[in-house]
Amino acid sequence: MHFTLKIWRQENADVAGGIQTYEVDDISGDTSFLEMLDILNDQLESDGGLPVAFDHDCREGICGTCSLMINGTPHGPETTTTCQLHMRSFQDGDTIFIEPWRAAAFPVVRDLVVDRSAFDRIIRAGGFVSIDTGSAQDANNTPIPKDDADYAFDAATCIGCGACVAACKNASAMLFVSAKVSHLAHVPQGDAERRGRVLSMVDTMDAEGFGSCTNYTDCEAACPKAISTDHIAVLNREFIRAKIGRTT
Amino acid sequence: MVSQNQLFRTGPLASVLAKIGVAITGGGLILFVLAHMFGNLQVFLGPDTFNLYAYKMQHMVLLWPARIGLLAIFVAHMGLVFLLTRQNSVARPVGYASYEPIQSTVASRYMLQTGVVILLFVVYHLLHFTLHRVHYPDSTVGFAAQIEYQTPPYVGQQMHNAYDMVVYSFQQPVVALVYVLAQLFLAAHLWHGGQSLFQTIGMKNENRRALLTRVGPLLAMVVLIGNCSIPIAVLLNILQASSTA
Ligand code: HEM
Ligand code: SF4
Ligand code: FES
Repeated sequence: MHFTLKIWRQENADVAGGIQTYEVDDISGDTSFLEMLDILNDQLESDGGLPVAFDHDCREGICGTCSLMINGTPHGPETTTTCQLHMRSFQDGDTIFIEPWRAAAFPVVRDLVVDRSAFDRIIRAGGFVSIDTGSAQDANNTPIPKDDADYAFDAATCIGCGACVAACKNASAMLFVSAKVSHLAHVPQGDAERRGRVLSMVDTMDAEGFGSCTNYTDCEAACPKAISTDHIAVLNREFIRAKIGRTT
Repeated sequence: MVSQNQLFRTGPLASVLAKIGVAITGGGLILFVLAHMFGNLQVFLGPDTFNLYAYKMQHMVLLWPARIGLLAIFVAHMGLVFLLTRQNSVARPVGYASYEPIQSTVASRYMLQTGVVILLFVVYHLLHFTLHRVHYPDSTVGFAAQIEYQTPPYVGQQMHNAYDMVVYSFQQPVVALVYVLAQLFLAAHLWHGGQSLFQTIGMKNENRRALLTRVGPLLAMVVLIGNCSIPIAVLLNILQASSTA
């Protein structure tokens, strides 16, 4: 297969970037999207050029490191991560736009690599349970209804990739934040700190420069883990509860 | 042991709180839009019923408190929207060369634009029917014409002939067209807003989501058909002036 690639190139955070056009040939449909970029980079290096920088790690869809806005959709046309996307999802001869996630809170580091540490700071603001760890408890020591456990688990599958932010017209991080708030709101371990958690995580989300939620729901459609915007409703409930609840 | 308040940082006006404000004020405006529509649909019950309704509204004890309250809700809605819109535009300083919305509705993406058209229309509408500053109809009746009420117990009571004011206004096709177009923008705003507010106040969940999401489009269609029926009925001569010009 042959592809024309329109890729965002940018030296570093301080200089302006732009779209550059590249051609790749002889790509098998079973090549993964990232392998296709590896092939492009080999080509660029043997021509004496600089390889395109992009994020990746596990390449098996579990770590959330890969990113990329592909033809205007985060992680491309399938509901999966970019590392799990294959070139058979495209037509021979396609022109493919490849851009970094766009958000003030995710500054470009180089080319397609953005700094997603804003997510870490949001988690640090409340996306945890403060208990002293000792020896592991017996399993089933804390009974949790199956529905709650399943719902919490669904939320906990968020891999922190940032596709929700990239997809949102407002660059809002509500889906990511709600996944963690909802996860911990559905298990008893999270109960003790639920009030402070939601307020603090929302506050940090705002302070990091993410947008607000207009309920477009493009985030849930872009999410490789199919996290539902129902969790955003949970966040809103938790927030209201925290605001009208007692303060100490 | 650190207290929760020390452990967690919180600020004064979180985006989520501002958005809840937009949802509550939007919900209030929806209630007004519905009440206003059902009130006006009394025009189909004839001049006496409609003129009496208008008369009672005008002479309501709480007229000014109601007007000021409604204005406050409207201004609060716009003020909070202004804050959120500013936050959103700062949040994405560089746009995409290629961007494809995946499942968001057109109505949701153009809330600001439809809102601004609603604002302009509200100003025009007040200048027209409340302040009588635009579109003096081509008749000697005029906006402020009085009429003698015909039905007991108000027989002989002089009141504003609001019915004819409406009919003469909408007999001008341009005026009717402006009203119908404005209703399309309002319907688009309600299409998204009328269901989005349930998400914002946390009412949606897995089970209720499908049902609540239909409320917006339903509301939009009811308001569109209800409000447009009046200018259209005038243009089709279904509603005719009660006094001759
Ligand atoms: C009759 C008048 C109006 C009604 C019934 C109304 C109703 C609503 C409702 C129900 C929402 C949804 C809130 C939510 O998603 O939770 C909303 C959102 C919105 N309204 Fe209005 N509105 C009106 C007038 C206006 C005006 C005059 C403007 C702007 C000048 C405006 C701008 C917006 C915007 C931008 C949003 C989306 C906010 C966001 O989610 O980011 N609206 N409106
Ligand atoms: S909610 Fe989905 S899209 Fe957003 S960071 Fe988590 S896994 Fe990625
Ligand atoms: S590289 Fe780990 S999810 Fe794609």
